[in-house]
Amino acid sequence: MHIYPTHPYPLAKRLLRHCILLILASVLAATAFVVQAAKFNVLVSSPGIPANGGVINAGVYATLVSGVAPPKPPREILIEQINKEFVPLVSIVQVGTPINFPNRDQIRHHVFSFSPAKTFEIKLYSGVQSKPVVFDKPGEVVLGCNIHDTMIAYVLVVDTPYFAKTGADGRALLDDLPAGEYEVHMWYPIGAAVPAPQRMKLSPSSTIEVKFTFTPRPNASPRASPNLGAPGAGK
Amino acid sequence: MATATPVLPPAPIAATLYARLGGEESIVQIVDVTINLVATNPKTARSFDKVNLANVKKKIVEHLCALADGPCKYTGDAMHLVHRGMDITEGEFYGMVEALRFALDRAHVNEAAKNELLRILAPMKRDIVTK
Repeated sequence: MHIYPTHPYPLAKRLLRHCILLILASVLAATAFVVQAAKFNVLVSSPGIPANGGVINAGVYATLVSGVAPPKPPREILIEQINKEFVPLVSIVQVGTPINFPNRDQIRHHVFSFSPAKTFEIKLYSGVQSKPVVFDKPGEVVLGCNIHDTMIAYVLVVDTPYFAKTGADGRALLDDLPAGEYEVHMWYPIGAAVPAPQRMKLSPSSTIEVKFTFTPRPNASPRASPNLGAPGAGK
Repeated sequence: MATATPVLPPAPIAATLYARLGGEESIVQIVDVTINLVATNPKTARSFDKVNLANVKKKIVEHLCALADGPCKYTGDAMHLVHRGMDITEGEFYGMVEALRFALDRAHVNEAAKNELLRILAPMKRDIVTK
């Protein structure tokens, strides 16, 4: 026989209390969001690119001028191999991010990097689960495949949780930033000479436009993908 | 006064297959010709699309050298792993054999050495042909 302890409050009262707490919590959360969330709306464009002038696959990231932003917990990302290509071509991740390389092809691949920020090689047989590689140092990593020399991918590892890459319109949004003074950086593979970072003050719940003018050099390196910079290259 | 010391002829050392194929230089040439042929022949080119041929050639040279008792160590993967998922047909396999025969002839490898090499390679067929 079970004896249920009697609750000091009747059910209706308890439910009401829960509701009030929930409402309070959500109001607090919403307030925090409204007060804190600010954005950098970044545009990387080139006068040399037809149509909208947007530069695709540029990395943008913001660093606090004083202090360090608390890192977001690292979340595993994927760089797949599909039809003898890396997908996506360009990735930007926070330091400590595990990257997995699922081989969607039937044939084997052999991913490698000689870049100082992460030197590794991993053999990927079709149908065999791969282990993620943790990108634990900031910097640019160029990935190749030992077997298929046209395969190439770029990873920029940054020491900040505020990063994005530009889409086909050259735009990237750095969202949910606390107010503060930042340096907004731009990056483009492979170690391209890019415009200097811009110092910007972000007030609470504001959106600031940041513009970079940059023209990618076609085939800057023999290891550059011919598609780099072309719309659709970042698929 | 010198007494003539009889000089015995050295015991004949059977030349390795590696030596009879012409050594490293010749094997590099044989592999170069073979792979260039199969990578361009429409019958076999499919499997070499976007493939780093320089690396493939390097590994095959190592492999042939090691199999022919030369001074090399094969650092590549097992044949069944290398060809996994490629769906190589018997026709494609024999296309490669044909290219190799051509290359061996061009390198003036004699019939005995040629057949010995092909005999060593023949059992690989079961690891390579999967379709």
